[in-house]
Amino acid sequence: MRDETIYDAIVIGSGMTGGWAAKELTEKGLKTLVLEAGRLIVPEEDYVEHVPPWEVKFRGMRDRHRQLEDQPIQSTCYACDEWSAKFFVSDKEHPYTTEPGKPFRWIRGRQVGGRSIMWGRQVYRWSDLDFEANLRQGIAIDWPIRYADIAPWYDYVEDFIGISGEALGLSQLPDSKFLPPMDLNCAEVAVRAAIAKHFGGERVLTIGRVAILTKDHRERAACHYCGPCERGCITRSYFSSVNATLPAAEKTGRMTLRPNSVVHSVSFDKRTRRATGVRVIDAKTRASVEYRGKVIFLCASSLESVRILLNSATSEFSDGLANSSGELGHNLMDHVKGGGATATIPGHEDQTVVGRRPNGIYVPRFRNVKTKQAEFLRGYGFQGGGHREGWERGTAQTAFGPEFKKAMRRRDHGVSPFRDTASACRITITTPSSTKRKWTRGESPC
Amino acid sequence: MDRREALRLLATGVALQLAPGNLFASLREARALLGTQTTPRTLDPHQYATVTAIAELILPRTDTPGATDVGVSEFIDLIVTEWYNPEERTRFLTGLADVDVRTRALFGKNFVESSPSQQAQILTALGEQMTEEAEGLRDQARQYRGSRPEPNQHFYYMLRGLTLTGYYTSEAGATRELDFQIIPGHYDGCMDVRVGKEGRESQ
Repeated sequence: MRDETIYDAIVIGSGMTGGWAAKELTEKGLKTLVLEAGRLIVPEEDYVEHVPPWEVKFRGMRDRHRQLEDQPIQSTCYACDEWSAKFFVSDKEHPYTTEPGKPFRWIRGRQVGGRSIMWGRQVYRWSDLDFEANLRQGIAIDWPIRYADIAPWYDYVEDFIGISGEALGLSQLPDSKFLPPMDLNCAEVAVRAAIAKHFGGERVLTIGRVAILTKDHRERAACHYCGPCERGCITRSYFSSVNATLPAAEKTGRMTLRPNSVVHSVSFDKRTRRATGVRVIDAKTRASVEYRGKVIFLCASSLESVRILLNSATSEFSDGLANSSGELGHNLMDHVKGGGATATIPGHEDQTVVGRRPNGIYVPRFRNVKTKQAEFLRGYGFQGGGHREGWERGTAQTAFGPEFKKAMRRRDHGVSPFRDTASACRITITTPSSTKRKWTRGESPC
Repeated sequence: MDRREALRLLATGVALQLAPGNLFASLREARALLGTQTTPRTLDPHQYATVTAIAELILPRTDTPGATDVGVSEFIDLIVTEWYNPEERTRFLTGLADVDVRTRALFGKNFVESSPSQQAQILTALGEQMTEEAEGLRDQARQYRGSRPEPNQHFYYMLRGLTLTGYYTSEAGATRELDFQIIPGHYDGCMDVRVGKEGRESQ
């Protein structure tokens, strides 16, 4: 089957980047087709952030056996809980393989909005320290741009999505265009003061920079601090394509959004030397459909976009489209997380928090910023947060009865920062050509 | 803040265009799905009575509902039936039977037939055993750098965890005992509290 319409543009994927492409293209007057492999999301029906724990079967303990069976990989993500598991793929239906001993957790969301529904919402600008890192170290390829080139685009995006945070004027972490910052809690204020005292301003603790509105912004309402953003947000207070960019594209009347459209490959016209369309398998009917467009944007996620290009091989380009370098699917960098420390902050018994802040703290990079480290090349930032221990602490206690119940009403203080480090890691993606179902295979040496 | 207020908040500004009437459709759906489960599926009447008695001793009815009032035993039966794996189920049921073994050895009758002070003695002994096991685990894991290991293999730890979870995630436990609000509406990171006579924090 072939759709005779020739779209000005075709966008593959409706998540974080697809939403932006749809918005920008339609607002510039282009008739745009947005293809999404997954189902349609209707916020009024699909968002579940206000469903309390007593309304879910396992009270937040997750449907354990179903997850082990159906989502063994996805459920390693904190956000894939009893409420939000439906926003993550079934690992059984979307299998992939990795080399033995080299696991790669591929967390995926297949629906309109993609992973922008459950993303972490933390947003930090790069600085020239990042753009020049390869050059300084004398490895790989120097970035072709510098901070000054991209700064106006940061402004442009941030002005639309809305970012709350605190301006610090640090060279290693340029300030965004900020909405008012969220509060630090009592424990975090104490840690911030201690860091300032011990490190004389070289290290600082600040509130997370987060794409969540702290005041009404561009027809979206300020956060109401219910807490679990990853379950959706009916007031559209955090940024996602469903909450912001897709509605903007829809408003132009020039977007055609087609869910349940699994893109197989990009078609290439040998004569004109141009990509001319997209071959789609309808997820519901399994029918093949071809769509034609003048421009094609691959916004299907880092791995899926590569898979589509590898699947688009022709006799001329047997290694896939846009792969004359042979580098397609190589050099993927993963974000390494882990390690860290926790501590209990004494005092503050007469202070508490009100509301559930969907944000933590950030300690910007301090390694190799002002002073050069001998044995450490680059740097890292910390994320974390302070919290008061709730009733969960009572399990390991031995007390019981009215006094125990009363004691559980009070909450205890603690702070649990986690270290969040970026380091180099190469990943190669291949698609087995012998099978009809071409699932992506990721090889991670990390 | 109650639900009517929550809806009012959502109905202001942009949320007005988002058909807030549908907001709790999923809530109703979930409630219908859950139904009202009344007959225990794994615990027999005696086991059920024992679990109920222990849970109520841990979190009794005071000026707010107790474990029995909010259906903690039904929740425990659900977890033992549908959430535990066979090994955990066996460990739980063995631990539960052991409660009666202990009580009979000391007082010549089952736990549920014992006096409140006898039952309290048994819980205290279970707590001591749980603590010993926890200390053993921590000694073994001296080099371990992470969160402290908990005695999560111990029956009493399992039962306490389920009792607390069942209670504090129930509507009454969360809203009447802990003052949980679905939509707080604002955030204050560091607010002075006065602790009232009943021990609850208030602004």
